[in-house]
Amino acid sequence: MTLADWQSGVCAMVQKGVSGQTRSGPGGNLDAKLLTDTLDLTDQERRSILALEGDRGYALTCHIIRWWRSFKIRAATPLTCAQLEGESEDRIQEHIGLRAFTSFFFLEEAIGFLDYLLEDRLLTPITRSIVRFERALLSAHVERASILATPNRAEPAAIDAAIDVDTAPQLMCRKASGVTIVQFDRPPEQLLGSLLAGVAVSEPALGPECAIVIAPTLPALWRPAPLAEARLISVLEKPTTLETALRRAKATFETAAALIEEQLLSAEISEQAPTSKAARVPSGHTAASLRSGASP
Amino acid sequence: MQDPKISQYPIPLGVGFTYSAVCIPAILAAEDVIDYLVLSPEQLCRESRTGDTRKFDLVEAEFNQFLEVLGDRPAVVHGLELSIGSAKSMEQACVDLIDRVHARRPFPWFSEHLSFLQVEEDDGTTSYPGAPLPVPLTDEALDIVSPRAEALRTRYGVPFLLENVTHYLPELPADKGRDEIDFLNDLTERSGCGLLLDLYNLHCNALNHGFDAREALSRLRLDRVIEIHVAGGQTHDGFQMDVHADVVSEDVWDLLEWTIPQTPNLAGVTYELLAEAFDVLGAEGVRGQLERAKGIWTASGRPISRQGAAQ
Repeated sequence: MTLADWQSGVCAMVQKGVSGQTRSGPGGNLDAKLLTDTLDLTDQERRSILALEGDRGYALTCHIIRWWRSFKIRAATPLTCAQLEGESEDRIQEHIGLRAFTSFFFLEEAIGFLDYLLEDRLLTPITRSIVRFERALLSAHVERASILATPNRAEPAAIDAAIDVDTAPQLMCRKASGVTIVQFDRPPEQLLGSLLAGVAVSEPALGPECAIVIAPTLPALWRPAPLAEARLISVLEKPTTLETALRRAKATFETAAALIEEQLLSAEISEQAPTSKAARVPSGHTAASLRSGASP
Repeated sequence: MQDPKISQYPIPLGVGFTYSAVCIPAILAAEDVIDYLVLSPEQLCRESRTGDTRKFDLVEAEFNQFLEVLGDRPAVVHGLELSIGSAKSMEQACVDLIDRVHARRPFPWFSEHLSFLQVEEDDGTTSYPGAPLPVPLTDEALDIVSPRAEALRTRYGVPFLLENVTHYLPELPADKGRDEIDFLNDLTERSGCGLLLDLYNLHCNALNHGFDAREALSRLRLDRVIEIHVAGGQTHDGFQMDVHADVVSEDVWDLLEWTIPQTPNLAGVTYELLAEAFDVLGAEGVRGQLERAKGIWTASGRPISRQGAAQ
């Protein structure tokens, strides 16, 4: 036997035991892998690995892995689990059965589970929003750690050029990396208060729509977003001239400037962008003066 | 006797405890008992990936909190995800992480588990069983693990220890009639790495696989043992489980008392407790375990030092 092939065979058997089904994937069909000459094993070694299926120690190993994966998911997705109520463990076990283990880290396991839920078209709108919110929050945690751990990371360039509609090139903007907008049918404080107390929220609510922005650069990773901000961020999924984005989102330059300062939008001067003669920007203003409200 | 291949035996520190933010109340309540803290740096990280390449980013706020709680005591590092026993390669992200921790706070020794957690497949993808699995006791495994252990031993100029792990799988492939003890002896001889003797893990394996723990210990290279772990656990379906979630059993305390006099280079005894099990014992319960370990340590006549410098 080679160590690599023995480990591959044992790993495949454990994955099968955890999932409760034969797995096919990058490693190939489990039974085919072990029953043919794919792995460099003697017949006896192959039989020993296959015989694990009837072994109590093997069963305990698989049980521990399932338990630990479920524990991690529950610990990292309290809002989603509260919303799913009695259904949560079944959904977690379904996910474990379908998706192989990929990480000992809580957040990666949890994000995988939330992605699995989002594939379900039958999720109610409020549940989908809660899952999206929690997923965005976990991703923001991961991205924030990565940002802070990156040495000499470049600070975003200050946009301080005078914006003159007639002569200056226009700003090209886009939503910054890791920024997500989630919309709810009720105030987020009301919703989160209920979920953190372990109580699912029912739908639909009759109140006005509310939006939350989640981003790794926000101090608490999220905050409520006025609807104009939410529309502007959503419109800027792809790079767009600021002028176009403001028109589509019915938002103001002040809104855009504040989002740029918060690093929720990125912006750069584009020399190629066509200028417009329409008076969209107060002449003589800079981004800094827009933010501060100072006179041009 | 000190083997020159194990560079710089650390001075004895005393009794240590596994750090987690949840257990800070216990650490503070036992400030006068704990001589060092054991840090598993992966627990203070977030993972990021580019394809199959992983990176572990330390969360600064959490690491700074650890340093504040540590104070002027030594920290020893006990990694979780190195997968030193994987056939094709171990986890480089772990080595990078330990490099960063060492740059911030040098340690008198560091350790990892003698196990594998990932398998690199022929198509270049990586599979994960989901739990640390034991390394077979073969010549090939020894050929693969020994140079890695030796490289780690020389990386920071302090001892690198490998820990015996619990497993529940039936008989592992073995060459030359080796058992777990023979393999550990061969490994430490070839690589110069030290041993982290987990007495609770040995106790679990002895119960689960039917051998005598003291007989096994009598054959182990106890002169290579630099750290001992003690812990408590639970049974499930007739197996003694490696869960570090309870008080240490009398059997394991007896093993510690029997073993310590035979470990001339021992530098620390660590009580391990999973963060998730802190509520089971509480701060007072943890202190009780640490005091008992300290009593055994002191009775053995070993000194206590908070300096942690290598000899």
